Amino acid sequence: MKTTDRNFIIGGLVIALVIAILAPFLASSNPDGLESAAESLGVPESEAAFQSPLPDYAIPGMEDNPWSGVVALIGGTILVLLVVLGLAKVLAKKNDKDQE
Amino acid sequence: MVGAALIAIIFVSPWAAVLVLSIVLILQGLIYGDGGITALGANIVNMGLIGGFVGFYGYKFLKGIGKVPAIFIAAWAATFLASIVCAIELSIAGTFPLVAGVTSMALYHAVIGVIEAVITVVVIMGIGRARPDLLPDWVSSRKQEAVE
Repeated sequence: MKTTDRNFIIGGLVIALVIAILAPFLASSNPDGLESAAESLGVPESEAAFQSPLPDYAIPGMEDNPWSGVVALIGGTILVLLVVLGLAKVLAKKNDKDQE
Repeated sequence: MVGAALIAIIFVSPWAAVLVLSIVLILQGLIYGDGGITALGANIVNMGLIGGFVGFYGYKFLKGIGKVPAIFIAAWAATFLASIVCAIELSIAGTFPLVAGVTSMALYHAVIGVIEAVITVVVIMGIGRARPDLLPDWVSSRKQEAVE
């Protein structure tokens, strides 16, 4: 990987981590578009079919502590980066083979 | 922020948006319970497929009016149309009434789409400043000016 590309990825990661740290303090607690529409139509939220480990971007039992959100978001940010880098490596290798 | 239009424009392919949104939505559903597993297919279709294709072709057809307004409108339309399709799906599923559901989703996302559009423009301009070589020809102002 070129140094400039590595720096670009690090720069993007830093921006993502800054957002992850600030989001639990700054994010609006108002419902999003779909939730607002559902509320205005009187449609209730259904029971989740699958219990996720970090529901609603927080550590279970620590929902009121914004730092639990920070930890949850940093974990997710790093996980997305690793999955995408891994996938990119595998797909790039496959593309090279196809072109041979 | 959905980002489908952003990805489709930067990578010059609506399928890039499908790929990235699929990864994001799978992890978001599995880890945070946001969007969820049972709605995963619908979410990928709405935000990835429709968002990506509307963003891509919206920009393709509008870029004659100027790159920034074209990016802005394409990103707004991607958000807006995806929300309308989502409302139609919810009415087929029996969750939302059709007319009230489409109206409500369209109104909220007409506003949310403006935020999406602003962020999309800012990110593309930011990449253009930091790493203009990463932008494809159809959004890069640098290469365009060199030719002209």
